[in-house]
Amino acid sequence: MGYLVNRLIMTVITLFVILTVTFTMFRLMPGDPSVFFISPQMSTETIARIKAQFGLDQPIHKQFTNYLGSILHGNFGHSFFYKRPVLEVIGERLLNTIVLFLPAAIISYLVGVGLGRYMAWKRGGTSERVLIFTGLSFWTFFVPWLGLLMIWVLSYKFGLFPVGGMITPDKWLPGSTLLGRALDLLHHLVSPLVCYVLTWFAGNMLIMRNSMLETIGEDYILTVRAKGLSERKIRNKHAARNAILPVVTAFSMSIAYSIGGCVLLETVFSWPGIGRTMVDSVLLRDYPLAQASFILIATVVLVANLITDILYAYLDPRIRY
Amino acid sequence: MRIGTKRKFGLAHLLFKGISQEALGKIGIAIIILFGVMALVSPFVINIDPDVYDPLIGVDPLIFSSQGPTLTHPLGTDHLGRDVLSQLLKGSQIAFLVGITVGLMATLIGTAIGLISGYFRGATDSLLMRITDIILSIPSLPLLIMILCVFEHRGIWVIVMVLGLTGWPITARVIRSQTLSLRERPFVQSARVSGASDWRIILIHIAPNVLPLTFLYMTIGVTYAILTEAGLGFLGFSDPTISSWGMMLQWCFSTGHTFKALYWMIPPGLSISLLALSFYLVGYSLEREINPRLREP
Amino acid sequence: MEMKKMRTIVIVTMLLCFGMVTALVIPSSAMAKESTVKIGLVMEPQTLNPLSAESEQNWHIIKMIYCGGYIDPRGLYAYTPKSLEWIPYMAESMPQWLDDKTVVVKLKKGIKWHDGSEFTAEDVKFTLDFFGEFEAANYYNTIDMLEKVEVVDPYTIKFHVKEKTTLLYYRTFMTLILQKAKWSKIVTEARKNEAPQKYIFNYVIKNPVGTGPFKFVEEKQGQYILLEKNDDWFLKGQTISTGDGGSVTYGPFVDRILFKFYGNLSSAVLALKGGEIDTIWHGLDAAFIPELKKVKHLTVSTKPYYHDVKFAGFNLREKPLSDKMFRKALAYAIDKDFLIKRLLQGYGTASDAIENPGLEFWYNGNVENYFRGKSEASRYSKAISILKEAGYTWDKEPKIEGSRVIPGVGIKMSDGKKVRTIEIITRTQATNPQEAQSAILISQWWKKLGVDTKTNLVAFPTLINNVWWENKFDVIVFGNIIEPYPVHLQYYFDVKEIYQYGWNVMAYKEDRYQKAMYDWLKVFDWDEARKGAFRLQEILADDLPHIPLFVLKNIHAYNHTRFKGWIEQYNGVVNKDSLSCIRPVK
Repeated sequence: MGYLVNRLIMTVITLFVILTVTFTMFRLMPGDPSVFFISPQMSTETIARIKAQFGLDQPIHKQFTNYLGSILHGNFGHSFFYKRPVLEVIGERLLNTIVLFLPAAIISYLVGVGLGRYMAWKRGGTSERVLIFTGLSFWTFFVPWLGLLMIWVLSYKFGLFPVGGMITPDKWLPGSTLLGRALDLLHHLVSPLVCYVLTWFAGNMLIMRNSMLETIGEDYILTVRAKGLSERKIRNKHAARNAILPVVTAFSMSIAYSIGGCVLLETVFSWPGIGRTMVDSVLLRDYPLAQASFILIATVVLVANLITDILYAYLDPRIRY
Repeated sequence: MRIGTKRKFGLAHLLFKGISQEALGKIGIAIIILFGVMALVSPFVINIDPDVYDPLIGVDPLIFSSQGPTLTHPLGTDHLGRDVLSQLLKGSQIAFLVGITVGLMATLIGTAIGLISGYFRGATDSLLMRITDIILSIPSLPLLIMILCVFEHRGIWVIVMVLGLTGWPITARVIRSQTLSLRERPFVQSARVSGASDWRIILIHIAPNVLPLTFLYMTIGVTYAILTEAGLGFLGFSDPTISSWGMMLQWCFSTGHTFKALYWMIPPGLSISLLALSFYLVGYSLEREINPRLREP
Repeated sequence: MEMKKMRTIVIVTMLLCFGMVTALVIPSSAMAKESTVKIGLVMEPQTLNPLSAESEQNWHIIKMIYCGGYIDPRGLYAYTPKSLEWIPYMAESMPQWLDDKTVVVKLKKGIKWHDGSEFTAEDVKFTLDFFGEFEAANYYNTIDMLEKVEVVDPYTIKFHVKEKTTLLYYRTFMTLILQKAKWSKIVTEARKNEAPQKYIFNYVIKNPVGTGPFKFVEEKQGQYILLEKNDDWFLKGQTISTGDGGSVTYGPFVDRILFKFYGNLSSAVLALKGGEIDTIWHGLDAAFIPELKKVKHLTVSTKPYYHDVKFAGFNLREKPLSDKMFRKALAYAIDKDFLIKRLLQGYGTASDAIENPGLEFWYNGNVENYFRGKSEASRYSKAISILKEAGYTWDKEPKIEGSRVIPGVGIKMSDGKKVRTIEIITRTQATNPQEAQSAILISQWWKKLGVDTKTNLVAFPTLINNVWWENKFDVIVFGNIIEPYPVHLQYYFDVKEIYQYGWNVMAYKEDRYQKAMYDWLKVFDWDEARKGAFRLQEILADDLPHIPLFVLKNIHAYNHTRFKGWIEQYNGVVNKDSLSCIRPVK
């Protein structure tokens, strides 16, 4: 119990730090967002009045408390660019990112763990060397470039998948069926998902392999082996069970980095996710939108971390709650 | 001092052994040397005729659009008639500059924090480690984008500084746990008993022992720096007045040449991936030397 | 055991995830096979509220629903599709002046809003009063010459103006008009709100009602917007002379328009080639032309010109940029042909005057062109001699050796003071590659004269802030929006526009120009107005508050196997008139 409470307090502190950093960063950025509401022909008094309406003339500490207060109430303000409540703009986009990220992360985890387990057992073989080299090559692949190559081969040359986007509107217009929509979404999901898995599976694979190798050397595995259990059972039940813990830790640590990477993936595959929204809104100096996107991305990471922590506690017999 | 020199020799020995025994390490070194040569050759290529081969403002007077490889332009030209090869070579310089500077900076900061945290433990340790945890749980690319937007003049040095100042947490964690175990070893204990100051113990007795690990994390840091700078360039957040590989890819992408000028799209992406890979391979081979359990039987 | 548990958790999570998304939208009634034009847009729209929409891509959608738009002005009057003459649109006849301060406009009868109610003079008065009361940013210039608007009867409006100028015709009479019934409720709410402007700007229009050729059907945020044809459109079935001998018959003849958003041009082009969409409503980069021309079902149109003229504008408040001779030397150093040939791949035209060369009636091609097209050596030697004559000196003087220019270093003003670093400010590479790359090249060219120059690529709001609001800049590379009638000759250069937030950011105040310009504003005859505009362009080319650079050709491509009857206009072949006239190919 203490472990989880500890994690929870840490998460809350981190969230507060993120909120503060975000606020400070956006105030430090040059450029005045009221450009969206003011025309050069207006009088100076009018401009001052409009600025006041958007709260841009208040002292900085007042702005900060207002900001914290409204975020706690779930109010992220109005987007300067889209002119509507920020949550209305990003709600769906956050979901879009999760739709891409969650299956991708899970598949790359499963593929990585599976291959890592296999490699540890086939230590020293050619298949291991090939897997290590392939894995490392993909691991350091420049994601946008891999994405572009995939689009070029899969979509451009062979026409197997859409060039980008998340849906084909024709298949979502009034009158379309649920199944048709689901298939269309899946069809669009394949390329970015494969791109993600290719670049991320190796991390899990190598950690799993290393961790398995360390576990195999442990005394209790030798004992089990002496008992005459089948290799398969030893591998799957005894060794893998303990070896998986570092992978979960590493997975938890890499979530932040890999969700960040979604920004690149979403740009290349024109996926209407929150990462791309953040990039676009930062460029447009749409403070409320960029702020909220960043905070939500960070929150997703924190929640994911918390979930993996709970999972870890559940998997690790040493931690009981 | 004696111990220090011995350790230095140990590191060189370790590096040599780790890299030379592993096929992957050799491949890594070979690629690094290849790009190193490219970086060194760059000024000579530009000097053939700066009006034509300057990566930023040199143009072939006879070519007005992106054209495929020819003898004068082995990798073709971009949409302005600038030489792609010359940009690629210059990009190699920039990648080394960014990669190694950031790698050094991040590992130095990370090692320092790790050593301090692990050696002093207690409140210092918890504070430093909580900060590390917080930085680790903030998505790095969005954070960098946000920080870079504070600077309107995004020179390459601003990017290097920002990457270096945010890239240290993993190193710090690893070095800390290593330090925690080192500080209980007999030779540290005896140094303490003989009245050596804390800083002396850290610098002379502990630091040399974490050096191999530091070096390992530096290679990973270089990989991170190269990939991240390229990613920022691709999104349009890098320095637009230099021809880094990420910018090259961005020019290709934003002018709509992605799928029609493969001679322009392939080289920068491939270079980014290869150079990142090479440093990682070196680090990987090193890790197997440091941690013998991972080696093949 | 644990591995199995993990696997179950994983599979269940994934299934839940897919289920959630697919279940989000409930399918509705079946749609018959109808003709739908599918248009790719690069940016998704900001809002359907015409008061706060800014991006051009956003306006493409709004102007199909309303009578016109901020960038494609149509209202009581409009321009003919090709010759761009000024004709009645929702008005019935030309304006009638009672005296120099009063003018009467009669409206067409039977124009309907999309909800079936009638369009009347009340809507016009409401709209203009509303713009005045709320100081609506994009529309402020439509009302500042008005004294009062009076409804005489449902189809007659009387305007009381401060002065009789052409601005009334090309601003007020061409503004977008809102429906009183719908907007008066919003206005009542806004008046009660403590932040009325904010309330209006942020008002989310879910169901826009206009008088345009297409009606709004539905929006899926970030994905698409669907419009359907308006069979009651007031121009439906009418044939209008295009002014160049031809004529067009208005539909709309297609059942629906589907706008799809791509996020980047490359993906949109791939979709166009694959037949996923019928056209892209966005100027294409020249790089796409060869590949698009190879596609059998596409027609690529490159003839017309785009409507903004790129320029390098100077801040005339400080030395040395306040020195006309210095500016002239800088102008000689710019190689416009280089920009056209390489940057635009030949798909552009150099502009010598601040006017679109595509608008032949208004463009004065005979102004001073600063050795455009001549060799580098001759341009630089001219620039150097001008600078020398004006008393400039160098640490190391630039020289011409054969055909090469040996760059100079450290130029000094006649008083011996060093010329400080000149900064060129413009938008980022990602926002506008042509402007950013022009700026980088221009800075390299100026460096050769020994002028220390650097480029500063910034986000758009920063640009506006530094240049328009704080006037802290040296040189700006930007695009001037050019309307079919050259009203920009007034607001960009008017001495009245020199104040903190004014349009005349260069602080240009030559007397001879101001006088000529005010005379020109009072000229209603087109041929006389043309002469005046020519004279104004001549003065500008000599004074050089701006160095005009080029205009891009507007490259559009469309699928000719699905729709026919596209109309080429000054702003490209994909335009409002085209979409109102095209028919499905059977």
